Amino acid sequence: MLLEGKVALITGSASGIGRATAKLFAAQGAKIVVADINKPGGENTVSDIIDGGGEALFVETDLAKMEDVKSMVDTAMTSFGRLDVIHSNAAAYDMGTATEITEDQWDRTISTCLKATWMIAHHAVPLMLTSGGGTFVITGSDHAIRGYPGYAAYQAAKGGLLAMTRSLAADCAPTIRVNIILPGAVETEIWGETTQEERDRIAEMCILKRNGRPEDIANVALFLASDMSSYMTGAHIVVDGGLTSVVQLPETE
Amino acid sequence: MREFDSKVVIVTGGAYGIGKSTALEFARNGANVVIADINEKVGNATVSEINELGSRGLLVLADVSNSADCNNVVATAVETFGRVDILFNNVGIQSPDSYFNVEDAPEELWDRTINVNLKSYFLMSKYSIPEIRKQGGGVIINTASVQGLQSMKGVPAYAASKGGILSLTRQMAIDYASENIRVLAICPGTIDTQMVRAQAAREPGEPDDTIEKWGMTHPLGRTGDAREVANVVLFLASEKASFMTGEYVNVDGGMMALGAWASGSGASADGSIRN
Repeated sequence: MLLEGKVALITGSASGIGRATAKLFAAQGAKIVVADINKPGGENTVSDIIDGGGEALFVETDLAKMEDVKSMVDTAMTSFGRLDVIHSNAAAYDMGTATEITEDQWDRTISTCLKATWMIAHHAVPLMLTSGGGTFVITGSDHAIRGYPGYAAYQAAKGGLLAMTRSLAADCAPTIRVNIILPGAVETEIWGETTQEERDRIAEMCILKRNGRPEDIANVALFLASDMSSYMTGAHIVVDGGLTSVVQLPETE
Repeated sequence: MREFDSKVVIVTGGAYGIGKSTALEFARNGANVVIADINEKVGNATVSEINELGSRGLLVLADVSNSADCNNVVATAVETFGRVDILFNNVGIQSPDSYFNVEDAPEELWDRTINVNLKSYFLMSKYSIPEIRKQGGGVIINTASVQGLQSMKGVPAYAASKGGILSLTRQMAIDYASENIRVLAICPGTIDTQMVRAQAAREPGEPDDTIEKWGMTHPLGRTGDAREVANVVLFLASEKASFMTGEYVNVDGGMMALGAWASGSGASADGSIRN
């Protein structure tokens, strides 16, 4: 097992990519701290892990609040005695162009998608350094490297995460490795009411002709969290079915 | 059941370094491995190590810049093992006497570097893809380099070959995605291989000291081990990376994350972060 004896903290693990990662890490031997603002969802992830023979606890966390982030990290330490792996994964955002979104919406998106990762690092990195190091995995987005209309704040936040990954990697080397995953179109609960037609239209743009599943990202998160990637830090891995490899041109035939 | 049981992998430049380490890792995980290399003695030694792991290895002597040789590698692989699933285009040359700017670089050096480092990837893919297709899909992994992204003085042919590999990777990913063939590249930083040792030998002082000094330019404070690159190749070739294609992954101890004026390693082992 790749994470035997490790303790992993995963934000946004009540659903989607975070939930898939929590279950995969648990199956690979890690004890899991499930952090989310969604209590029923978080507790559901925990009971799934326990039913599977693993160990996990839920910490209700509002990642917009410094005291919640601190208490989340402290809970991991007091409950499991150490912290080896962090997957900073949670995201909540408001859509809109720069002219459409309000200052509150901007602040909320930047707070959850960008500032939260800084707060986690601020509290967790010193603890991880003193306990001998570990790995920090961040969920970014292909929004960090491509522009899509109507996501002004979200793109700024995800671009910020990509840059912060490099900065954290430089500051924490060689004791903590820090890497970021840039998922493309991954179908999670956040897609909500998106119609099947729209889902198919997006899948058609991926050269693999399908949208991603949370497990696709969880597999990469496990790779980055484990010793399999021991010479990687400050790196990004695009997991997008080839979405950003191809120029989208109208069919000419 | 191991991840690559019943799979057949071709590794170019598989006698030494990253190629050898990856060949052994594939073998350890169940694959039969075809080594394409010009070095018979070292290639055979690698094959012996593969066989000792309980997989089957095969050396096909080949100058992979030559079309007929590439065709022969694939044909021999199919003749011997019946199939090809994974191609690891890995061969690369950057000889210690190849450091020139474009004005001074002999044309033969340019041609040789481009032919071995880039054209061989085209040729091996060209002949392997029809066989991979017969298996309903597979994976091609290409060894590019951080020097395809950022460079240093005096390596125009090498840098161009590595940048070309990144573009070729993207292109083949687009062209063969519909046939379930994923194509990905890795960009290693300084890996402690025979090639890097030869480069270190041209520097003043002890090669070990040079290697250590080069290691310190990576945030992780050391050069990489070939097995650390092999682990990334196996991950990308596995089903766990099934939603990845067309992309590259840096395996560089953080080198590409660091700006030019930054010095190497950040935090000290005692837990303090450098100010």
